Amino acid sequence: MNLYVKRMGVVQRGILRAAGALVFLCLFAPRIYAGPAVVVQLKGHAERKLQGSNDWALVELGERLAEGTAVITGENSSVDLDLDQGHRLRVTAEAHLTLSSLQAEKTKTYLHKGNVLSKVRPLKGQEKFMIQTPSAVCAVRGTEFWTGVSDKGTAVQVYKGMVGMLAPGGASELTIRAGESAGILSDGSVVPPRSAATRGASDSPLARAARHEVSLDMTRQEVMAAAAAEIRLAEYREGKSLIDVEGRRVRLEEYIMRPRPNEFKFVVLNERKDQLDYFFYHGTFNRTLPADLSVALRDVSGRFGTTAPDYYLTAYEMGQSNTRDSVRDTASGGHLVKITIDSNGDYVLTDPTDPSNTRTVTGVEDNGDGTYDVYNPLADAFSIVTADQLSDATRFGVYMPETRTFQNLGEGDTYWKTRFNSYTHQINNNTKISYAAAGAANILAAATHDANWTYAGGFVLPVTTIDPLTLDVTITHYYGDGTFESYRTVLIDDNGHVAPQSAFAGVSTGADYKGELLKWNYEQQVSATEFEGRKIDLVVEPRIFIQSGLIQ
Amino acid sequence: MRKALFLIVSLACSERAAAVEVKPVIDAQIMGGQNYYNGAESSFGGVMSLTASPYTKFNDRWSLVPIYAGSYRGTQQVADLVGGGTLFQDSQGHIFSSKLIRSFFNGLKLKVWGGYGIDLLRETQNENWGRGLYDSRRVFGGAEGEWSWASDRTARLAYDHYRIGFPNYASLESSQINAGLGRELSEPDVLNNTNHALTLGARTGLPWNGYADLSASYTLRQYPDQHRVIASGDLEGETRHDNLQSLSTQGTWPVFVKSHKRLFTSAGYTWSRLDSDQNNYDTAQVTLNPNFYSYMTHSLNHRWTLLMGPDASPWALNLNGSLSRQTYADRRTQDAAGAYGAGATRVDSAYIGLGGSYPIAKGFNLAANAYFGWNDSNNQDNRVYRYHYNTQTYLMGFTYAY
Repeated sequence: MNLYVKRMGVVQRGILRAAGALVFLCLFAPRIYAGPAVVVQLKGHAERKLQGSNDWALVELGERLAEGTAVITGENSSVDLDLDQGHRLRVTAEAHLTLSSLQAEKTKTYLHKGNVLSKVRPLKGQEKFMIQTPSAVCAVRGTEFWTGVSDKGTAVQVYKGMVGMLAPGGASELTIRAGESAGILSDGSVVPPRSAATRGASDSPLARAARHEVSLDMTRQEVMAAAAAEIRLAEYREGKSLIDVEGRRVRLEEYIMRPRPNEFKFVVLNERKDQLDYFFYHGTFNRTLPADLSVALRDVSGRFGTTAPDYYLTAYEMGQSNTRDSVRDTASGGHLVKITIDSNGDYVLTDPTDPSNTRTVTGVEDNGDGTYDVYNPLADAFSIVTADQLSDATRFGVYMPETRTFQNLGEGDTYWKTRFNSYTHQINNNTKISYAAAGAANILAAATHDANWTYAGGFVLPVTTIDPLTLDVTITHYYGDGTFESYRTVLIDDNGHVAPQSAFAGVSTGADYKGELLKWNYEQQVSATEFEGRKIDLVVEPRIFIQSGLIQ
Repeated sequence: MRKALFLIVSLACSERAAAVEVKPVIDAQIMGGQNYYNGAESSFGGVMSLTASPYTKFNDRWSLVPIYAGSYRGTQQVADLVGGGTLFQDSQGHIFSSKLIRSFFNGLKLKVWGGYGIDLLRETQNENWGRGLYDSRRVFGGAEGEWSWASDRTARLAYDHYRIGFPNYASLESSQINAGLGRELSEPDVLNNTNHALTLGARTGLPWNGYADLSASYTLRQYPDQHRVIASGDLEGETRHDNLQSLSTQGTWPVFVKSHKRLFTSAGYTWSRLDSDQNNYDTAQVTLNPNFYSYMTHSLNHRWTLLMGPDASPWALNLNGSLSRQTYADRRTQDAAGAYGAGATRVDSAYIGLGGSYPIAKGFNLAANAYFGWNDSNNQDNRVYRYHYNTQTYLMGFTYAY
């Protein structure tokens, strides 16, 4: 060879040298050796085998492993290798890795089994970083990722950047992004990328499919359960289900019926376990009622001002019952009475259909013993109060439907009220109290001599018991025939808790009292001799009682 | 080593087999804790649930998904309806369903399903299991087409038909017609309803390696026994119909994913609207409230999840919260005495949850959760329903997933 060269001329030698340089460049220039991998961390037991050798030797910290070197790791062992390009490989326990290529523009390893964590710095230009396994080739673009190999196949999980994964002979590359994992099985089938965010405890495709389907079904069930819950919530918000003072659920329904054109009926139904109680108020008006009942009911408990109301009651029937026992009030001969308050604080009562039928009722009469008789023109009743109570006892709040507030009656005011010429109060169909007009004229004040009253046994003695801490009041009527009837009234919140006395501090009577009253639920328990231990127990909105005139 | 175990287990489970394959899916939890309502504590209670499904793949074309899901709840939870004056809440639910799936090689799946579910509630001291006023039963069935054309791209269209019945609830009024205390058209099963629902759902990838779940649904709900209330307070022959529409979107992203450390976040928004033709007659105010049940709801949710440790058994911390506003189109505000104002009633709620779990054995986790909720409204009428409250729930126990 050398002789042959020597015989060539200068030109030929020049051409040969140029061609040789070109061949060298073509063959070797891209394969610029980047330097060995350096063992920078060693844990446990690891061995290496140099290319072309059959001998395995222990890996040592700081050792430089040349291209073609194979590394195996033992149980609970790992080796960290730093490459000249700035990449780092962590070969974890029981793995087998060969450093196939450590060239400047191509780093390639062959992972026979086990796992390797690759931290690849951003690649330059044509630079490549690849991990080949028996079932896949993973090509990398600046990333951090795990590669795992078993006899089942290859799995990759990417923490940063992207990894392309290709099965040998495969047509298309899987792209695995940060946060995703994917795999290629030994038979070439693909486990597609999926986000680690959605991973469950089991992660096979079958497990994923199973969890996906179960998840869809459970979501569907949640929608249906939410529909049932929403219906329940609507019932709560309408007040159709609440708790009474004894901690029992009360179902509450309230509605209005129109038995005849000039009649209406409020109905309140309460249902507890094994008990139904009801209240109704059946009113008959002086004329046909409008479609908007509020127009007629606006003045049913009375009207403030000089103009008489268009609608007033001519009769009513009020009932309370537990379907076995009953309280029933009936009244007829309803007519308007005009009430004016004069400068003395007395009440001038007039029948507008017969102005000659008039009478003045003294507002406050001094009994001379430190007590006073006070006339309540709204309830048409007298009460005896002390001097301390006089101020509150003479303030009568009337409902102002236009402003939905209460206003105290005062001097010069005019108020319209319906009075009835006959009235009957019955317990289980036994008449306890009744009155009828004493003469032919309409009754102006039944509490006076306008009416003749009767009581069971000849008299009634009311006794009031007030709980000192809560708004829990019991009024008991003892009759001359030895019977009694008792009304326990409590104000409760939505959880059945009784209102404290402090809720009404300073508003014991009159307009303020009624305004506060409306903020609570009103529960009334009725017992009587005739009920033989049973009781009627009703939760009602107080407004119904106020509007129907039952609370004065 | 732990990562290798996860990967190998994962791959082993992925192997295709010609024979019938059964993949059990089990989720269970048993937890105990307490609920606080406006600062008042309830008695100690427990929460248990189990979802079990022997997912059965007969071959590449046919699969069957039978499911049993049961739960018992012995304490109120923040998300519960605690404003309704319930003394305590004790509930259990059971669902049995089965779904048949036909898979096609182009990624299409056709599914049909049916099932039965019951919810039993003991809300007050005088109720026994099976006697709860709001116990409900539902019978359901439906069909769905789901098409997956890429690893993270899926669309589905589903039709659901379900009937919800309240066997222990009958209107009181209907029982009093003969006593002269009920309106002629009143019927007993006023809460029972029949539903037809269409749902369009999709999942797709998002920038920054995230993905989004989107859904739109329409439901027609009919109440065959609930007659409409008219201005006079009477009932008319027409019965109630509700139309419910909703749109929902949820995005999830990895914030960082490193070996043994992963942080994810998700955010979502849901809009829903109910149009109801039912009115309400307020007897106390003698007022008709038209379209009483119609509302619109906007809600936002956000969640952070931090996973530490190996994929197969990480310990986890999560923080989540939600805000929602429900506005009733025609329901006017009320003052403390029940008098109506001019504005529309709205109900606002906020919710924060903080939870953690620690793996103690394969599939088993020790878990602890705390929830905080607030409810507020411009409706000041709290006589029958508490619109303004705060509540907290603390639970600790074990979870199991397979």
